[in-house]
Parts: sequence; C-alpha cells; structure tokens
Amino acid sequence: MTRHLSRNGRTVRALALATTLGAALFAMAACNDNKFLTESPIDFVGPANFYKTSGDALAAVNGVYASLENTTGTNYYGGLFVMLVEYPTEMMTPYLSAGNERSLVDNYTFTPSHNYIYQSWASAYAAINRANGVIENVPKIQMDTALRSRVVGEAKFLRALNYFNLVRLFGGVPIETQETTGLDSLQKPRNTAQEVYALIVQDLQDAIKVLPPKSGYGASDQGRATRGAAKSLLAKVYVQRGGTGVGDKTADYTAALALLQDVDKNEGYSLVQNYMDLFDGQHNDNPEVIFDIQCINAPNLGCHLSSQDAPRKSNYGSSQNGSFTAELPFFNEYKTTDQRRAATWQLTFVDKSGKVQTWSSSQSASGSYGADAPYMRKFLDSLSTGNDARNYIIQRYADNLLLESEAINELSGPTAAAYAPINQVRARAGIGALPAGLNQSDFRDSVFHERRMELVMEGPNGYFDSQRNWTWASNRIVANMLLGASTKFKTSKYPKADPFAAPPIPDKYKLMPIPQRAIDINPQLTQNPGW
Amino acid sequence: MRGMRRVMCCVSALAFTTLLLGGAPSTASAQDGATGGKISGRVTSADGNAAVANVSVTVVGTRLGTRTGADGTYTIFGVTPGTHQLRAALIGFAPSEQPVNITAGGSATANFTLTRVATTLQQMVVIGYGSQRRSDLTGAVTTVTPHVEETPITSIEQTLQGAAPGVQVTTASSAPGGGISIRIRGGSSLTGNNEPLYVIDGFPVENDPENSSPTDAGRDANVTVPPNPLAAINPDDIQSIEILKDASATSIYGSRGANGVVIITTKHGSGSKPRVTLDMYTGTQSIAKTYDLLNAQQFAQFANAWAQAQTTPSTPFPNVDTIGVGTNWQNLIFRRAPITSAQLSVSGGTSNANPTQYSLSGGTLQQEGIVRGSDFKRVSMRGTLDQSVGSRFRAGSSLLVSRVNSTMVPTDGSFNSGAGAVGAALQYIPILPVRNANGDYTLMSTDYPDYLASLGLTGGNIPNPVASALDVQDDLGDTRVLASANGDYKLLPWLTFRANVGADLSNRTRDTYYPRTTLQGMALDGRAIRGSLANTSWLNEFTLNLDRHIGSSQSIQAVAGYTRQTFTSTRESEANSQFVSDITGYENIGAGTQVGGPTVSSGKSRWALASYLGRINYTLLDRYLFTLTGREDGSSRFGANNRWGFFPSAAVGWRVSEEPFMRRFTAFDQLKLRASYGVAGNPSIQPYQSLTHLTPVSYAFGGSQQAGYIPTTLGNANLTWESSKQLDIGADVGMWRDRLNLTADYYSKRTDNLLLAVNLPTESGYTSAYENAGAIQNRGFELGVTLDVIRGDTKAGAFDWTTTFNYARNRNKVLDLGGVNQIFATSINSDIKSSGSLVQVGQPIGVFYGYKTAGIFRDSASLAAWNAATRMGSGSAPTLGSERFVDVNGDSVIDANDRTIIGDPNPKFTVGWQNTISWHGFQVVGLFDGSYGGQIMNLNLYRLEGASPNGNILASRYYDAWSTTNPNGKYAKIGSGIGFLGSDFTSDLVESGSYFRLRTLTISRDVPTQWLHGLASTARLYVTGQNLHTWTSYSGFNPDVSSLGVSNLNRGVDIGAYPLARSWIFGVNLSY
Repeated sequence: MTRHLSRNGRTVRALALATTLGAALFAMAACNDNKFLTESPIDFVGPANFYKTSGDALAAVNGVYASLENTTGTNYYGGLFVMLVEYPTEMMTPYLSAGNERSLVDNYTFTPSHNYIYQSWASAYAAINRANGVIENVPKIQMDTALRSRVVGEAKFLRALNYFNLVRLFGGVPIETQETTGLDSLQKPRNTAQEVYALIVQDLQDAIKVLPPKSGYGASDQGRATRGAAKSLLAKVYVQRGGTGVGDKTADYTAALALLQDVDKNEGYSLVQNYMDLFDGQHNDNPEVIFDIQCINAPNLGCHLSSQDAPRKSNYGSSQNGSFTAELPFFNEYKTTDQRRAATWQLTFVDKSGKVQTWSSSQSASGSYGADAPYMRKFLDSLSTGNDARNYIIQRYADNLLLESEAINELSGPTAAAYAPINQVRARAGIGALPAGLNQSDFRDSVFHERRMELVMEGPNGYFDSQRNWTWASNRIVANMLLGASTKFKTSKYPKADPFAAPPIPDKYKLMPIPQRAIDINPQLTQNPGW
Repeated sequence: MRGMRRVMCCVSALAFTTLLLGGAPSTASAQDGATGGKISGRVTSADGNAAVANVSVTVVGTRLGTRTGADGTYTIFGVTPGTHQLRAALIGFAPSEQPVNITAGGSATANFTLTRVATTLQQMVVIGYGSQRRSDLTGAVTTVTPHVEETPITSIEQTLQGAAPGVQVTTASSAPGGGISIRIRGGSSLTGNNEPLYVIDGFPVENDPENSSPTDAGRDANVTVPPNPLAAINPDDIQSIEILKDASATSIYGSRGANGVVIITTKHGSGSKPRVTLDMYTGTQSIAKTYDLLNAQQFAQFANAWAQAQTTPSTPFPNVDTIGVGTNWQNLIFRRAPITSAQLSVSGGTSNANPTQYSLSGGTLQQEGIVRGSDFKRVSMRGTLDQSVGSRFRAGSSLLVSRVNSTMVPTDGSFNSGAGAVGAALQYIPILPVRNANGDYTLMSTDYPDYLASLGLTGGNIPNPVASALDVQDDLGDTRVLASANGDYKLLPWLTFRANVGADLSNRTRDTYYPRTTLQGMALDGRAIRGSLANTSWLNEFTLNLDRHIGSSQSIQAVAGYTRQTFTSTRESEANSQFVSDITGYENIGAGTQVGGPTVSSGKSRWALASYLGRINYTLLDRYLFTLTGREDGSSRFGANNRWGFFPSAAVGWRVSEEPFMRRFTAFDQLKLRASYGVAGNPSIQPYQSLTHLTPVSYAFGGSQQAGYIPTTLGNANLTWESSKQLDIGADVGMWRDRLNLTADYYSKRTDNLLLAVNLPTESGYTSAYENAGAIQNRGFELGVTLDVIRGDTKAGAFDWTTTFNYARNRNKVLDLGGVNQIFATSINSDIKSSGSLVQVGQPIGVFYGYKTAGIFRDSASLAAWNAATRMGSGSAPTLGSERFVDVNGDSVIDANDRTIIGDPNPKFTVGWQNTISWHGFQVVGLFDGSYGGQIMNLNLYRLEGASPNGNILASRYYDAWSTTNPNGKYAKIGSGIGFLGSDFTSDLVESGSYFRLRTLTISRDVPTQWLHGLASTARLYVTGQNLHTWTSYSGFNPDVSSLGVSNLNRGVDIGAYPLARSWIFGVNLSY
C-alpha cells in the first residue's frame, strides 16, 4: 500500500513538473514571439525612412537622371533607344545579317515583339515613375524652399523628356502622374497624343519657372536640367507637335519660335568653333551643349555607345561591335571640306595589330577596314572599358538654330531670318551658306538635310525628324534601299523585302507599334493602326 | 488579434497539461493490482547469437511490456499469475511469441531468438517529431533505404531517383555536385521554391537552390545551374529517408510542408561490439552521348551550299577536298574522368546500467567531371554519441562536418558571349583550330574566315570552348557543420519531455577568375569575382511525447511542442578587373586596376519562425486509426497582418485485415484503407519581399559622382503563405507473408494564394511585384509494388528475385492567376529575348509558347495556295523549302497573335523499377527509371539547325535539308531559318523528353568467409554501371534536363547543359 502511495505521489509530482515546465515555456514563448518575428530591413533602405531630408530629395532626383543611362545599361540612351530612332533613317546601318535585331529595325522588318521597342517603352516609364515619386514626395520635405522647387522642376523636366520620347515613338500612351505604391488598378488605357503633349508642355512650363540658368549651377552640378534646357526642349516639343499635325501647326511653331528666340537672347548658348570639340571628351562644359547625359569611366557611371561605335577590327574599348556604319550615299553627301565629315565618321582607326586603317571608297567588309562605309565616330571613347567617358548629347544649340530656321520657314517662308540660323550652323561646319532663293519646300528639305548632317547619332533625332517631313525622308530611305538591292556593295543597307517593292514606306511606320509584351500584360492597350 | 492568439496559445498549453494531469489519477490507479510475477530473459539474434537491444517484449493482451537493454536482457514486473503469451518484436526481425507460465510473486525466464527479416509492416517510420509503426500510419509516407554500399551515389537526392512513387527527380545539371531538383506530387508553386523541406535528424533545412547568385557564392544565371546545397552531406551516413507526401503527414511542418517533407535519419551506433566497416570504390565516367555535328570539310560544303543559295552565288571554299576533318570541339572538352570514394566507420556501444552508443565515420569523395576542368571533392566526418543515464534520462548528440571543394566549368548558358564551354563547343566552327599560329586561342568572332565574312556573315561572338573549360577558374568551397544535442527525460513511462537544440552552419565561397585568354577576361584584362555566403540557422525545440494504452483496446500517441528557428545569412562579394598579370588569379583582388577600384558589396538578411505544434494518434481495437495534427506558424517573412497561419489536418485509417470477417482471408497480412485531408503551407519567398526596396545608384554630374536612390522592388504588405489543401485516399496491402506489398494513393492538392511575381504593366515603372494570386491543382495517382517473385533463402544460396515497381502520374493544372489569363516567364537570357514558357489558366505549369510550324513547303502548289491565303506579318514571303507557319488564329497573317502553346515539360507519368536477384552469394541489382510524356525545348537546336554557316550545325541539318534533289528532306532548305520567328520560338525546337533508362546495374559477390582468413569478417565486391542505356528519342545529351535551373517557369529547357556521364565503378565493402 505504501508502495502504491509512493508510486502515485511520484506520478503526481512528475505531472506537476511537466505542467509547470510546459506552461512556463509556452507562456514565455508566446509573449516573445512578436518581437522575435518582427522584420526590419538590415541592408537596404525602405520607403518608411526615405524622403525625410534635402539629401533624400537630391538622391531621389539623381535616381531619375540615372534612369536615362546608368540603371538601364544599354536598354535606353545607352543603345537600344538610340538604335531604334537612328537606324530607320538613310544615315546609318548596323551592317548585320537580315535576321539580326538591329537589321530588323534598319530594314523596317521589325514587329511589335521587337525588344528595342519594349525596352524603350519600359525604360521611359521606369524613369517616369521615379520622377513621379520626386514630384509627389519632395514637396512634403522640410528643406530649403528654393532647392526644393528646383528638385521638383528637374523631375518635371525629366518626366517631360520621357513622355516626349514615348509620344514621338508611339503616339498616345497611358499617362501616369502618381508614383506606383500598390498593385491596384495598374492597367490603364492609352491617352491621346494631345493629352500627352499637354502634360509635357505643362511640366516644362512649370520647370522653366523654377529651374536656374546654366550659370546657376556649380561645377559639380553640371548636367542638371537648366532653365535653358527646359525652354529648348519645350521649343522642340512644340515643333514636333505642330510638325506632325498633332497640334495646331501655326500656334505651335509660333510658340516654339518665341522660346527659341528667348533662349538665344537670355540663356547664353553659342556654337563652339571646332565641331570636333563637342565629341572629344575634353570640352564637356562647353557653351553649345544644352542638355546631355553625363558620363565618366567608372562602374555604373559610364555611357554605353562606344562599344557599338568601335570598328570590329579595332582595338578600341572592351568590345568592338561596329554597329553603326554610314550608308554610303549619305556619307558621300559630306563635302570633303565639311569639318563634320571627319568628326562624325572614323576615317581612320587603329586595328588590333596596331596598324592604322584608313577608309577609302575601295574598301569593303572583307578588306582591312572591315566595312563598306565609315564607322560612326561620335561618342567613341577608345579607352572605354564598358563605361564610356563621353556625354551623350540630347540637345545642343545647333539643334536650336536649325529648329529656328524650320519654324520661321513654316510660319513665313524662307525669309532672310530663316536663312540666318541654318547658315550659322553651315558656316561653323565650313561649307558655306545655303543657296539663296529656295522655295519653302526646298528650304524645308535643306533644313532637314542639315539636321541629318549635323545631328546624326545625337538626340536621338533621326526617325523623329522623319516624322515631320515624311515624304522627303521616305524617298531618301527607299532610294538607298533600292540602291542596296541592286548594287550591294555600294550601300550597306540590305535589300529590303516586300513592303518596299513599291515605295513609299507604308504609313503605319509613322509610329512605332505598341510593344507586344506591353499589350500582353495590359490588354487595355490598343495597337497602332496598321500593326 | 495578436494578443488574442497569444492568450489562446497560453490557454491551449495549459489545457494540454491539464489534460495530462486529469488523466493521471486513472493512470496511476491502473498501475494498481495484486503483486504480480516477474518475467525476465534475453533476446539474441539468430545470425551470430549477438544480443539484440531495443526489442519490445510485451505480455500479449495486457499493457505490460518493456524493451531490451544493450545486452539484450529484459525484465517485466507485475505480471498477473497465469499463462501468458509473451511477444518479442523489433523492426527488421520476425516477431516471436512463446507461452510463459507465471505464479503469483514468482518469476519465469523466457529467452527469444529472433530471425532477421525484411518486413515492411513492423517497420518504424519516422514521421516528424516522432515515429510510428508502418501498420499504424494514416498518412502517405514512403520510406527509402539507401544502399549506398550497393549503388554508389554522390548526393542524397540521387537516392530518391526512381525509388519512390510521386517523387520526381530532375537533374538540373549533371555536373559533379550539380543541382538536382525534387518535386513531390508535382509543382505547387509558380515562382516560389518547390523543393521539399529536408529534415536532417530533426533539423529542418530549407533547400532553395534558386536563391543564390555568384556574388552570394552561388548560381550564375547565365552559365551555370545552381550548385547543390545538400552535396555537402555524405549519403553513406544515411540510415533511412522518409518522404512525407499527404497533408496528414506534412502539416506537422505547417507553413513549410506543402512541397512535401524529406526526413533524413543518419546512422547511430548500435550493439555492443565495435563494428568497423570500410567502403571503397573507384571508377571511370565518360560521356553517354554526343551531338553529330559537321566536321571541317562538311562545314565547308555546307558553306558552299549556303553561298550558292544567295542572290549572288559564290563558292567560298573552292577546294573542299583539301580540307581535313578540322577540330572536333566536343572531343576536346569531354574526357574520361575518374571517381573514387572511401569511407571508414566505427560504431558500437557499451552495455551496462548506463549504456553508451557511438558511431564515428570519415569519408572522402573525389570526382572529376566529364567536362574538362570540372571536379568535385568532399571530405566529411561524422560522430554521434548517445548516453543513457539510468532508465529515465538519455542524452544524444551528433556532429557532422564536411568540406566540399569543387571546380565549376561554365556549361549551360546563352548563345553568344555568355555561352558556356558545352554550348560553345556545339556552335564553334570546326575549321578553326584551338589556337592561332601565335599561340593565342582562336575566337570565332575575330578569326571568322574573311571569305565567309565577305558574304556578309559574322561568326558568333562565342568563347573558345577550350579556353572556357581550361582557363576559367571557378572554384566553389562549402564548409558545413550540422550539430545537434538533445535530451529525453521520461517524466513517466508514457510521457517524455524532449529538448532539442541544433545548429546548421555553412560557409560557402565562390571564387572566379577569367584570365585574358578567355572571352570574358580578354577585354577587361582579367576579371575576378569573389563571393562568400555565411548562413547560420539555430533551432530550439521542446516537445512532450505521450504514448499510452487505455485498457486493452485503445492507445494514444500524442506530441505537443513549441519550436523556434532563425536563419541569418550574410554575404560579401568583391570584383575587380584590369589585372596586370593573370598570375595571381582571384587570389589578389587588389591587384586589379579597374577604374574606380574594385566593386564590393555586402548584405545580410534574417528570418525567424516560431511554431506551436501538436498531433494525436488514436487507435481503437488496433484497427480504427485516427490522427489529428495541427501547427500554428508565425513567420517574419510576411507582413505583420498576415504573420500567423494555422495548418490543421485529419486522417483516418481502417485496418480491414484485422476485422473478424477477414480472418478467412489468410492471404492478407494487411489490408488498410486510409483517407486524409489537411492544409500545409509554402513560405516561398525570400525575406523582406513584403517591403518596398530603394536601391542606391549614382550619377556623375560635371564628372563628380553623386549618390541617388531609386525604388527597385514594389512591396506588398499583404503577402502571405501559399496554402495547399490536400485530400489523399490510399490503400496498403500486404499479402502472402510479406511477399507482396502494395501501396496505392490518389491525391488531389489545391494550392491557393500563390505567390506570384506578377508581371506588372510596365507603365507602372515596375516590371513585376509579388502578390498572392491564383491557384494550382495537382491531382495524381501513385502505386508502389514490391514483390518477391522468387523467394529463396539467400543464406543457403538459393535463387531469390525481388522486384519493386513504382508508378506515378500527376496532372497539373493552373486554375487561376489572379485575374490575368497568362503570365510569361522572364526572357530566357540576353541573347534570347523570348519568354519561351508561360503559365496559362487551364494549362499545366510552364508550357512552352511560340509559333507552330507544319513542316516545310515541298511543292509549288501548296506554297502558292498558302501564299494566296496567308502572309507573314514581317513582310517576307515563304519560298519552296522554307518553313510553313500555322495561322493559328485564322486571320491570314502570321504575327504575334499566332503564338500558341507548343509543348509541355510536365511528364504524364514516371516509373521506377528495381530488380534484385541473388544466387550463391552473387547479387544483381538493376534500377530502371523512366518518364513519359514530358517535352523539352532544346534551344541548342536554335543554332544547330541554323540557317547560315556562322556557327556549326547538326550533320543531319545539312545532309537532310530539303532541296530539289532531296524533296523529302527533313529540314528546311539550306539558308532558311528554323526554330524561331522574330524573337519567339517555333515548335521545331520542342522535342519529346520521354525516356526509359537503365540507371544502375550492380553485380556483387559476397566473398566467402573462408577466403578472408580473418582479415575481415565480411567482404563484398561489386561492379556498378550507371546510366548504361537510355531509350529516348531526344536528340540532346540527356532528356532529364533543366538548364535554366529548377524553377517551375522555364523548366525543361536545354541550352548547353552539362552532359550525362556513363560510369563504371568497382567497389569493395569490408567489415570487421
């Protein structure tokens, strides 16, 4: 009996111990769980602790600049966007086999699935979302009010630039003016081109009010959007809107002209004497550049076009794609006295064995120069290691001058006032004045021709200029293609397939197709006509 | 809400303990009774008369019973007087019974001699926080016993290949130490991890091979598939593997159980006499299959044919006859490679009042890969120590230390500069030598012959395969320590408290150097990347285990516990380029002169999991089985609102064979029907995904760098687990004294709240974000059969044949994608912008997507008819001998809207079949496995069926191309592209991935004892052939492939995959 009691007692004691242990453990655990499970960022910055200081405001707007080149690599101004705008002209060709992505753009055989179209779309919208973040959040920061307005103005300038790229490529696109913070209702239909232009104009007008002139920035802030840049870009926006029939032609050209004259008078830009200085990397802070992408040779801080420029057989840079060669007829339009000829095209380069290779008309792809026509030279940085120290020029004063000639001619014909700006550009190039007495149409074509000669590879402008003078551009492109078809080695443009059996280029090409991938994801988007 | 949960937990904890207390008095009184007699005895094994420990000796029909000690002895007190049937049972032995007569207060002796048998029913099965007799299982659990000494394998997952129904093993890379992917009952997550949870001796290890990058010492998305994180564990140390498949079995692992659970139990010491074993093998591996490509002369003929087909015909190679065979790039990078392994282990124990059991082992493995330059070395050491202190307390510990050094060769990859050695070897043109006259490696882009370049062709910018294989240094190191210590305290004979503390520490490094002789290092004058990743995971676990009989007809087993686990990961990486010389490789990162200095980065992340768990198994009359399981998990990986989740399950089993009406059917050892239903989760995503991330960038204003921040990840505070509800209905049948065992299961699993990286409209500024959206269903049937076809006494040398067969079919269907109809996979790589795969509602996961083709135009009539009705959106018109695209949507234009589903990588069923035949000390084991109905997108063909001579092609592509003289040619005419349109693929690249493979064939011979002269007590010699034959129509190296890793999107794609090795291995097992 005692034994039973003792067994019983042991059982009770053991169970009591178990109860205590269990209860204590569970209670202890339950009461600490929430602290134990709280997740807080260790190695990154979250939105909760951002947009607090002026440093955050600057960091946020710097991020928008970076989206032009640094954070998109070659997807935007670093390559694909530039190719998408420059190849479909009669100026340059990638000189690759017909199925190559670049050739598809060059030959008008691209489809809505083409990657360059999608990447340009995505890159512009990524920049727009970042700019929206600045425009929305920075005004709430307690900081120096002048700096605060400037930062917001910079963001509006950059938002306008990106929408301008979109509206020129695609026509009307969805307008986003709020930073994306959640996943709800992200599928929006397209706005009209008019609505997009209205937003661009509004943003730039706002920016003009708050941005400082170029002299208002210190040396370490060169490259930020200036008042002059905002005015110049707005002028270009008006010209494009009026020139493509989206806006009222007279009103838009009038507004553009007023802005261009304002810039002439008040912003202090001038042509540099030596055209080559614009591209040699030694004269970045020159009085001609209005807005450019600033690049240095350091990881994630460089531009990316140089490796596309570098001749295939050269020893320049980290890779040599030779993706931009002149179309021979276009190159032949440069007079030998034109200082732009050697500054734009690589008439010589150093090959892998250290020998200097020189372009001559007898050269072909199989020869020592490696191409039928000269390689592009602008933005070539032969010392690049994948990060080029060559600022990519988006707009400069010569562009403004040519826009001015265009505007005056459209408004009042080829007057002396219309001749003056273009002749300034021609004089600097060393090719003398434009023949006097041209009619309005011939004068227009001459201005566009001058834009091609002066601005090839910059901007980019090529395809966008074509949109304003479609017949002229189309005829030139088709002529080169036909020439290419009949005498392959006289022009590097590959023979074009069916659509050009009967020129001109079909009208659907006046706009790029909405990227198929964008439509796949957002079925609210409608495709452009003809695609 | 959280407070509420806390209170609930406390209350339930109290309730549990109160329940125990409440049960106590009756328990105690049950112990009362008249003073009984004492039975004692010893249990020995029939083979060798050794003492057998841990045998359960029970008085049949009572609750009385005990287990034998290390010396095999036992004593049972308090036996009521009379004649009893005494039963001794232990897994692996035939149970034995004998009558014992006992008088009041008297004592009796009953010794048992047990015979070893392989009986499945009595087997104890580890089920997570406990174990159960197989006959009592209500869940779907498969046990795999790896016989590493019979079939040498190098990694745990290989054990499962073909071994268990419903377990699909895919080789992501056949490289030594390469990634292997396991799917239990199909994929249930789209973007999250689909690998099962591994529980190694009680320590849960999440194996997410996708979660690493080279800078984290892990995967390089372009050129390699993920290294295998479990490669550090020596399979020779494994005792058994249990695979938990249904919800009843997995819900005890709560939020991590949805992909199934693989429980790995390692070897512990046993017996009393030290036992020494030595297992050694050595062998050689060679490539199982190569592509038949053009040699130099054939390539020249092809180039001529191509040039003749151009607008301006020419003949680039006028003197074809003088061109030899050129360079066979495949031969140059593949080799015959040795493999050797040795493992020595000692185990044993002491038998006294406080018995000790120990085991110690050490092993090495050295494996060279069949691609030159790749190898794998592992050194592992393991020790376990179990110490009992009296009968109530037992402490155990185990320690595993391993070190892996492997050298990787970039193989899988893209087409151009990103191509790996294998991909490059396939494309590289045979007319180029390995090196130029000046000794430098040739490069196809620069050394491409001028006479071809002049035709407008350019050689692909791909690396020299030999330079990639030999000169790229890519070294992986992995040090892993898995340690655990536990203590069991028997509060009562039926109630045990267990505390378990464990740590899993790993330190992985990956150091890469691309010297200037390689394409990647050439332009940068050498490039070095060093990455390291240190992971630390801690586990604390407290459980109470209850094991009681109530009367003679009921029994309860229950477990309740609280556990916490944390995982901390820190990583560092540094990269530099512009090295003055290649001599220092990656060892001196400071020697690089990259502008701006070396690129460095570091990071840290942490997750934590707190859980309350419980399970009750109730058995009535030994035939009605009930299981209730639940786990409440709190995870730091989700937003505060959705941090806690509850995962319950219930199961019933009916052992029909125990019913009285079944007694007539003596053929049945067992007939059990099971059903279970429950929920398990999948955390799927990486820490911090619920938060928006801002990432630093910079911009150079006026040449001076200024810092910036950009939002890169769009956060979602509502993220929560993927939850899988699963119904399982199964039957276990054992017949004719264990001669036939059959297990069949039907299951239906629905996973909701899928964590999707949903493609966002790019207009948002983001390309994707994580959301809980959508549902997937997996339904299937599994069958496992083991049959002793001919049962002979192997001791006596009689003929014995056992066959094991398993079959599993799984139908996978996407039910919902959260409002969208389809989600595209990310584009394949920088060269291939197409997604290749997509997920579409109503379809299986990850189907291939692209254009459909229907042969080629062989006659002008059909061409004209097609042209009259249809046109290409690109504007080009098809010609005779070119591909015929299918106008899927019937709008007369071939454009993006004609893209459709062109293949499905999910197999319709998989099988495994093992045969073991023994005769006179010889044994033959043959393991076959197969997969039927899955397809592969063979992207190698994108180039190997290419149109123009800018890279090498398949011999058949040239010889069997359509032409007017070969009107029945299989391929489009020379010069006409195959396999793609724009940047999308066509159905030409999709091939059947069905195969049936003789995976291993082992012939072994036990060396007769008299030949050993006492040098060893047993000895066995064997020879094994692996991957001896594969029956398949797949044209690539290996139909069991997934180049782009193991994620459910982009599955079943082959781009330059590391080829399969065929190996012959000779080995010996010795024991003392």
